[in-house]
Amino acid sequence: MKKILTILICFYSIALLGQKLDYANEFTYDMHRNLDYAGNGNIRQALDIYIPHNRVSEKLPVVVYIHGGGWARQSKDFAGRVMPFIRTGRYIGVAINYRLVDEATILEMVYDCKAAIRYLKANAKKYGIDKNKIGVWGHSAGGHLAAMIGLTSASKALEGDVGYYKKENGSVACAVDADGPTDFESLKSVEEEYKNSPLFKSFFNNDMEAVKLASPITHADGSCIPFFIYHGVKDKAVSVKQSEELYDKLTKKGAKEIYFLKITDGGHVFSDERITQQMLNFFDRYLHDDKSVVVDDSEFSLN
Amino acid sequence: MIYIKKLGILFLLALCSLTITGQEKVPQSTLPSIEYTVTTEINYAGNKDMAQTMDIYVPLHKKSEKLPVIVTIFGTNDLWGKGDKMWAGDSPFLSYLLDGNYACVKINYRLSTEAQWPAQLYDCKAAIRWIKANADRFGFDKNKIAVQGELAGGHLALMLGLTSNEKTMEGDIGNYLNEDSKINCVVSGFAPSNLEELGGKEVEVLLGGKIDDLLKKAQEASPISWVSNETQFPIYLYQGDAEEKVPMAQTDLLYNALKEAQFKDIYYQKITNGSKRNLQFDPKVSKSVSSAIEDFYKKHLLKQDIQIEVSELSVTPQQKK
Repeated sequence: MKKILTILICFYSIALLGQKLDYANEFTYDMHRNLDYAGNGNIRQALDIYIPHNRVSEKLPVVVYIHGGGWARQSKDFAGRVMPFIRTGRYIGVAINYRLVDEATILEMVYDCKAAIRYLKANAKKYGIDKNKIGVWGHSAGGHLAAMIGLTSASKALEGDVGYYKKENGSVACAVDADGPTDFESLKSVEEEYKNSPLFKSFFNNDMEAVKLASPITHADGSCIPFFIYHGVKDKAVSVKQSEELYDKLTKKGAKEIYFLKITDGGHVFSDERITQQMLNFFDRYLHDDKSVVVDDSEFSLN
Repeated sequence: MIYIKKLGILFLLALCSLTITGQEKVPQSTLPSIEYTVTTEINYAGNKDMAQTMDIYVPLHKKSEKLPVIVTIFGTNDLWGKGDKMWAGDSPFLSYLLDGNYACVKINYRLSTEAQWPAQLYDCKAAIRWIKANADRFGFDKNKIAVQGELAGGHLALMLGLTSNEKTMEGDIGNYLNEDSKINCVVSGFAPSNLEELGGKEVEVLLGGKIDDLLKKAQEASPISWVSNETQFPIYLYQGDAEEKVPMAQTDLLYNALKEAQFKDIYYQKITNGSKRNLQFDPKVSKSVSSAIEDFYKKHLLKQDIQIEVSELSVTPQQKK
């Protein structure tokens, strides 16, 4: 009896902690690189698919990573960030490019991301993707885009018309927003520097309607999909207030599955295994529907 | 009749260029999409040290059953003191994977902060032996291995080649001591060749003391000391006169020694105004270097009859924004 109890407790604590992360062991995956989701030969509108050889089933959920870089820099190519998830064999990883500020407005970037989601759905059979179980996550500018995709998941008006796969839609099952701007209006008033930046001008050119539309907070309501926010309290590039504002609005509107993890001494760019672990738990809970896995969003300190 | 034939071919071409996805017809993309299998964090030393791991890239669509292998050893501005295989980037070999003719490997070695010379060379040799012992599993042609690297990576690549007949430099790391660590050709950029002359803190950390006290060790760790007519293999060298970490004289010295020893397939690409850092800002120059390297592999790994171009190259100074 005691033995059974011990086993039960063990199982229970595994469920609570989620599956452990593994970074060190040999691991094999297939890489499908530079897939053209917009169909016009622009590398900025391409994506990479990572498929683990230890896949646990023929149809797998997908974690889509959206890179940061102030909407002006970086690319999908250094997407080691999907590795912890695909290593479990329970996810296909995807890293996407989107057009940057030199050739697109901020809403067009959202449309690119949605076209990438539609591409994944249209090609779900080919890669063994469960098209109803796509989660997105991004950092900084990527966090903003992930938030936009997550919060406008059901919006037909913000679907855009990039690419060929118009029969699919850009909805996703859950989203993670890391250190992302959520409200351009308050960013504008709080941070003078931002207001005068050429980036901001080229995005909005004082068009307040556009500022509103491109702000995730505008789209926050009670019907929000499962949503995980994390933010470093010491973030100087994007204030933690941006995430607090979004979290408050979502909870006030009655959204249910919302998590907000603060890192007491976290700046804008850092990574920590504890965050990755909670993200994995979040994806396991909402993409694998494993409700025994608990997502712990209590604040912690890096040191 | 010919006209009709032509029309038919055109029609077929039009059909081929459309991929039918079940819902919409999508034209073939002009982007070079690549498919390959990656096996990451393989430990070649038979332990748990992440510094002794490597990543293997094999194209899904292979041109032949057994593929030649291109091994990349990373090198940073801290020479042997800092870095990881991840920093080697993958753009240099994406085109090799794309054409399906090669497999690619990126290796780690213990940094000088973790272990002193010759640990770094022993690690690289263990990695080569691992690659040979596991050739069947990955479909490698174990008799066709090229090694490339820049800065410390170039130094280690040269050392691998030049000491390949030296039993005393083999080390005893890993489980495959039955294999040898011979390689076929080397591509080396901005690499130290004479450590005594190079000097500096990085060399001292590598050797574990002042150079004056460790002259013999400094010589043992210098590619130039191992140049011998009896161990010949093709080498492609590139170096720029704006490189501050490893002066151009280091490569000039090696090139002259190789010529003197009557090495046959030696190419030396000098780049006016060039350094490892500024090469990336001049796509034209970096493209001509990388396509010469591609030709080098075609000639010496694929045995194609091809001329390797060594031309006047000069980096355009970067415009300040």
